[in-house]
Order: sequence, then structure tokens, then C-alpha cells
Amino acid sequence: MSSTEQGTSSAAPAEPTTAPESAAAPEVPESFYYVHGKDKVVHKVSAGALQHSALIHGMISNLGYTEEQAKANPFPFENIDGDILQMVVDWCNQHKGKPTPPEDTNLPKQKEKLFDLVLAVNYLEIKELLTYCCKQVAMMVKGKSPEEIREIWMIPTDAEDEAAEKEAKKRAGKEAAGETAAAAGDAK
Amino acid sequence: MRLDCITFNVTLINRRVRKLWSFLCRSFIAIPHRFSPVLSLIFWLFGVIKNFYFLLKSSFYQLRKSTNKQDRFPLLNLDYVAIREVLNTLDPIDYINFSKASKACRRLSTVKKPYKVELRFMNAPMLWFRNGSFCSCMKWIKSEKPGKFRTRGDPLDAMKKFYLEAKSLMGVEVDFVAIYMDRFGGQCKEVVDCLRSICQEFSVLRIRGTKQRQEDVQYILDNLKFKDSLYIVAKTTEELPLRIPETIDQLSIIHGSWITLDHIMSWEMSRILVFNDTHLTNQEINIIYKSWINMESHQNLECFEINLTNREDFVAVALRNIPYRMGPTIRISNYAAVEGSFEVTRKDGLTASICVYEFGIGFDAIMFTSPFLSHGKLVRCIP
Repeated sequence: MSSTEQGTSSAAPAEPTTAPESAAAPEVPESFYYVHGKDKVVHKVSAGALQHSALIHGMISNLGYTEEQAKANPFPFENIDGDILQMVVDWCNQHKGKPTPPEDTNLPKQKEKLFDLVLAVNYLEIKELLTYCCKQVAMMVKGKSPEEIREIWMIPTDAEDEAAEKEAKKRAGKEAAGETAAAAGDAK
Repeated sequence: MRLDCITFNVTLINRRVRKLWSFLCRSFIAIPHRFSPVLSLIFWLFGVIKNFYFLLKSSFYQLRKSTNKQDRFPLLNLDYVAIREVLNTLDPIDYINFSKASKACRRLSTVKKPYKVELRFMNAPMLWFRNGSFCSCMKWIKSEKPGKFRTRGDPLDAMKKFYLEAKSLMGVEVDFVAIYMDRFGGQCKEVVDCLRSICQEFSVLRIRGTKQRQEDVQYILDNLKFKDSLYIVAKTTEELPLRIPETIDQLSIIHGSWITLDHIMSWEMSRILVFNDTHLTNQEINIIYKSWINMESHQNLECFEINLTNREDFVAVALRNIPYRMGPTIRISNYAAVEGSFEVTRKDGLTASICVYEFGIGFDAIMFTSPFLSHGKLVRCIP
């Protein structure tokens, strides 16, 4: 149901190639929307698949785009990597109009990818996928000790937290002093 | 001449010894001097190998560290909603461990959770978190080598500390306590003291054991506050009556040889009564049934199970002067129904079905009222 192509958010994207529709297509033609991530690759997604994302669903409902308008104005998600957006789009397509299973085994195994996916899914407000991802994150520390959890989840120690806090305070103090000096200079 | 010869020999020897001594002295100074470049080279090589080894070791360490870094997940860099979602998904034991990772984690973890806590005192004290079908368990075994499930100190103290930690973090409370007296033998007082120090009251108490001292079982009953259900599967050596609160909602006594009609009539507030191994006669059972039908006692009764000492005259004696009509057999797992049920009606119109079952080596009569039955089928399990 989705396809990708090179394009930009400002210019109208070229016609994306669409995957074959399912045999039991509804009589009313399904509307499609376009999204792109940091890599500007445009993904064509059906409105049904986008229903998973509360953010995009809200945008669609408010905009009331026609097919042409939607094509001309793909939703830009500059904060999401292209491959991550592709993953999200694929998941939305796979679970379009279906009840979500209790577990999803197709989530990325690499923690870096999973981190980006959680950020994206949280931003796009896809509740079910966020739940799956968070379950996988929680599984990382199953049966681990506090020290191991600190290591796996990169949690700073209390000493590191205190040092960071001191540093932040120092920086804030310096910035405030700089601003005061600048204001005094302006006044002169 | 001979003397001269000897003198000459001595002089010669003397001279040779001196020569040897001087050679040796010179050699000891000269050898290190001659070999110093070689030794320096050896030491230099040794230093290079050593440095190379440390470099190699540190680079391997760096490599491993960088691999680990890739293998890690910066949880606290996520948005708060996502962090909360992850924490909500955590197993309660992992959740407690997370709270111990740092002060910031502790602040994040102080959220009320819906778990009920079960404490089981078996060979080792065990703590279960339960929520619907979910359960997670923790236990403490005394060991010199501390680790998962192992504690160097007193297991009871370790359990108490863990529970109080869980309570302060998640607001969980003890709901169920099971004391296996045979396995946790001789420590009844310690267990009771521990329980009293961590919870005022809980819902369900289960006591198990064989050949236990009457005073130990009674000590538990007297010193713990349980509000809903009591299951006594403990057999005492004395087989004397136990003092049981009359306001208990569900009461199950499996080794009830001491139970009399008066006892049963005194537990008239109960909703569920299950007795086994009693010596109650069918005449006494008849009195209980009639008392219920005439609404003289046990008005809340929903399920009443009692063993039969005489199966043959149950209908003739236990149901004497009680109008009934035959109903369908009510099937229960682990019980074999002997025949159909006897449907009786209370004064206020509430109906009950009495069924006789073969259970183990004896027979039980069970009376169910409507909360347990729907269209002649059991809709709830006997606790």
C-alpha cells in the first residue's frame, strides 16, 4: 500500500508508484496522504493506515485535503529519519483496520534504531506501536540488578547527576551575568 | 734444596691465586659493563612488549566499551510519556531495581501500581505481585554468596525490607498470606511478628501443616488480622477447637474433626463455609439446612460444603421434613456427582441446590445458592 520516492517537502512530489490494491477494495475509493522524513523520501499512505497516528489523523481531519492537495503537500517530519519513518509506515499499513496482536516481533533489535523508533512513534502518537516498543525496552532489563539497569539504560549515577546540575547552574549563572553586562552596555 | 723447592711452589701458588683473584675481580666489573648494551636491549624489548600489551588491552577495552555503548539504550533521553510507558510495562521486581539505580530513577518510580501482594512462608519466604492473570515472584534463601534470591542476612528481614520498599514506591499492600507450618517450622512467632510489623490487616489467611501444635496455630489466628477469608488446612496434634472470628466471610477448615454444630451455628455471618473431616451427623446437617430455610441463621450463605459421615441415610435424615424437588446434576471439577441435585427454597423465596459428591475417599454435600448457580450450572468456583 505504500511506496517511496525521492522528493522535497516544498515541491510537489512526482507520482509515487502504488502497490496493488487488495481484491476486496471498498466501493468508495480510499484517500491517500503523503509523508516524508529527514531524507525527503515521500511515502504514500492510506488514510486508514494513518488512523493509527493520532497526530496525523488530527492533521488530516483539520485540513480536509483533496487527493491533489495531499500530493502537493506531503506532511514533513524533519525530525524523523527516513528508515524509521519507513518502519512506521510499514507497521501502519500492516495493521490497517486489524486488531493489534498482543506482541510484535518485527521491531528492530538494535537499540539505537529502537530508540529512534520510540521517539518517532511517541511524536506521531501511535499508541499501540509505542506500547510494543516500550515492552521491548522493558525486556532489556528483565531480571537485571540496579547496576546492570544503570549500565543498559545509560542512567547517570547520583554523583554524575550532581556534577551535571552544578555545571548547568554555573552555565546559567554565566549566561545571566553575560546578559546583565549586555543590557548595561545597551543602556550606555 | 728441598726447602727452596717448596718455597718456590708456595710462591707459585700464591702468585696464581692472586692472578685468579685479580682476574675474577676484573671480570665482575667487566661483565656487566660488557653486557650492559645487551641487558639494556632486553629491558627495552621488555618495556616495548609491556607497553604493547597494555595498548592492546586498552584498545580491546575501548572496543568492548564502544560495542557496549551501541548495546545500550539511553532511556532518560526519551520523552516523559515514553519513559512512563516503559516503566508501566516493567515487571514490579525490575521496577524496584530500576528505582534503586539512582535518585532520579527513584523520583520517576514513585507511582501507585495496581498489584496485590501475596506473602508465602514456605522453605523460604516468597513475595508475589499479582494483578489479574499476571504474577511475578521473589524469594529469599539464606546463603553466604549473595545474589538473585540469595541473602546473607535473615531472609525474613530481607523480605520485609523489600516489601516496605515496594509499598513506599508503588503503594502496594499485602492481600494474601499463606503460612506453610511444616516447611517454615519453629518460626511461627517470627513470621507473625514480621507480618505484624509490615501490615495491620490483610484479606486472606491460609494455614497449612500436619501435626502442628495447637498453640502455634492458635497463636497465628490470635495475632494476625485477616478480614475476609480463612483457610485452615493445618492438622493439629491435639485436634482441639480453634478460636476463629465469628465475622469471617469465607471459612474453610479441611481437618475439622473438632467442629461441632455449635461452631457452625456461631459462624452465621459467613457467605461461604467449607468443612471436611468433621463428625457431624445427618441430623445435625438437617438442623443447619432447616435453620437456613427458616432464615434463623446464615442469611448470607451462598455455599455450604460438609463431609457426610453417613451417605446412605443422607436423603432420609439430612433432608427430613424439607420439601425439595429434584434438579439437574451440578458438575464441579475434581468432584464426582452422585446423583441429581435437591432443590430447596428458603422462606423468602431464595432457592438452593444441594448435591452429593464423591470426593476422595468420602462423600460431601454441597449447597449452592443463586450467586453460584445460573440455570443449573455452576458459575463460580468453590474457593
